Amino acid sequence: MRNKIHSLGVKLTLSFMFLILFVTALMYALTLTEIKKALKEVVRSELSAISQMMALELNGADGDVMQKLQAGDEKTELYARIKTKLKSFQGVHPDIKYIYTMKKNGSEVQFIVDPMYGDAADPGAAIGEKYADANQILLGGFEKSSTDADYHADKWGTFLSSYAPVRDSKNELIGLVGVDMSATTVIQKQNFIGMMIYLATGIAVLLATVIIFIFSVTIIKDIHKLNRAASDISLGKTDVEIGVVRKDEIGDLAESFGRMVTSLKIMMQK
Amino acid sequence: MSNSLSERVYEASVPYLGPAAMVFLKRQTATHMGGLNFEQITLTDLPELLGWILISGRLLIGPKADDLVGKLQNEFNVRLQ
Repeated sequence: MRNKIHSLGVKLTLSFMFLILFVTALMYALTLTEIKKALKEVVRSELSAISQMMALELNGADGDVMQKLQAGDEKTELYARIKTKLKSFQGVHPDIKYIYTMKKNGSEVQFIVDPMYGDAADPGAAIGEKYADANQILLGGFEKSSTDADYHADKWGTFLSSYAPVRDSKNELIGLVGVDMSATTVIQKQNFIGMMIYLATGIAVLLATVIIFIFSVTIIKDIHKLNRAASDISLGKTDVEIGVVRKDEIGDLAESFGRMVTSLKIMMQK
Repeated sequence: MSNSLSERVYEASVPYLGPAAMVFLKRQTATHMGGLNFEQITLTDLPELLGWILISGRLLIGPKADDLVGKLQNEFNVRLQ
């Protein structure tokens, strides 16, 4: 009796399965990096849109208020007004970790309103507190909308940020609004996409394996029938029924085999 | 020497009966048609021969014998006896 591992069905199924696995693994490896890059671009665009929308909200009267706020004004109504506005905007975009306003004082970048100020668990910056990690992207945000190309780190964490300039009622540039998305959030989004691709690939491989298995079983079944018929004839039993009706090459083989059996029967009849 | 009629019957039978078609056909004429030599058959012998091909053929190849006889009837424009 032949070992199952040597059967054509097992060989066909395993070969196709490995082929599909190899192709999908290759596709996965090649596309995942590009998909991650594309997702990061989407996040950057989203951040840019959010910062610009927020800047539009603050332009004008709120811009005037921001210009007036000085260190120690954290308890004032005007400060609370901007803080509430920033917080409510943040509430609409739960992926945003921090949203804040800043101004330039000479070469120094200072916070104006950081809604996290006073939060015991995650203390933010007070009015006038210097931001020491300002990069070129942030500085550019005082002039026009700008977004990090890559993550940057400061004492609050690692982020992907976008900045948009804020204007007062005279349309003068007075500062910027910044939005931060935690690098962890971006990476989680990327990993989620990766997991989805992995899952879809897994399901596709599984389905393909089942289909190939069924396909090979139907082929093997008919080959077994031909094999049994040949075996019977070789043992002198000419009254055999082949029972293979197909329109493919195996069907042609069965037909030729049937003709051969018929000839054999004729020759063996006295 | 075989005539063209027997050759045509043989050629039409080969796809159904294989290389032993000649033996089969010779056996039909010799056994059932009074010892007639298959290679000497004429058009008038054909209806009777087709009848025996149908009977004996069904035992060998089942319903395919009907196909074979139908094909021969069409080719020679004859009816079964």
